[in-house]
Amino acid sequence: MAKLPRMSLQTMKVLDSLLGHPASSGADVSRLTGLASGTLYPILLRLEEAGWLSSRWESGDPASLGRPRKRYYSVTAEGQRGYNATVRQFTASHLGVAFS
Amino acid sequence: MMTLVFAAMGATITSFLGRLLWEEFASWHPSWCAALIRLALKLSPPELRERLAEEWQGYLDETPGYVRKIWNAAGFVVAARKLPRPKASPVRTNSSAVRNAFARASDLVFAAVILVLLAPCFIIITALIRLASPGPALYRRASKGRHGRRIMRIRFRTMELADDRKNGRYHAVGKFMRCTSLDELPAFINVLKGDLSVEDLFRIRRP
Repeated sequence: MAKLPRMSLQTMKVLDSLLGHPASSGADVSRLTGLASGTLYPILLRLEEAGWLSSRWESGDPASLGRPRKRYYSVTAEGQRGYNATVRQFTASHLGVAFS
Repeated sequence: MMTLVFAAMGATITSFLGRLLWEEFASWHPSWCAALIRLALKLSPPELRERLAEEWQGYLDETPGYVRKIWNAAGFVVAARKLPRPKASPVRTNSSAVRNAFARASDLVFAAVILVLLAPCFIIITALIRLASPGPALYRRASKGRHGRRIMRIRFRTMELADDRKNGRYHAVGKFMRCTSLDELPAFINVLKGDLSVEDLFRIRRP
């Protein structure tokens, strides 16, 4: 079983942006979240390693595209469940147990 | 009245120097980005290098602005150190690898600090060269680098553009720069690129 990723505000921002904009490239996620490349890539690869994100190359080859291919990231079903669980946990711990 | 004249002169000179520096920066930024990506890939887990090389290059292509590109390329170096690594095959385990990494990191920090501190000197020298002689302020010359490798060492130009070393015609500020070794200052860029270490810079003689 893959290790659960460490959750932080930045991690949540990445998941949130990818849920809103599925199949986004690293540069797109950076624009959406405002995270710098040095923070973003460790998060993307950690989430992918944990199975919360999946990634695929843009179709076509670099020669015909005339530029390097983009790598698109999407949230998996497991990532969606993990995100929802974290949001519920956060809401319960910060807004009290009134909802439970 | 004199204050206004001086202010106008100051503004003109500043804008001229700024433009020169910007032109140099614009022409050099692709090689700086490439050097930073190479360094980041060296620090990345080997199994991810091929993927990240293409992905990061694509990321920079999507990034607008020279400064943002260099900033993001430097970010990849930071990211490479934090990427998840498989526990079974740690990348750096022996002490010499750690020592080399530490030496390289020290070189990078030292060269970066020197380049930032000497940035005003770079601007002034660039302006003086451009005023003294038409042509680029920097040039590259084949030299010996780390471990005897052949590299292209970056220097300030001291000769007239059409001349070579045999003719030996310095431009107006060339001889002064050569005597004081000011022409060697851009070699710190070679240190950033990994062609030279700071120790080499002071040890390896001019060809």
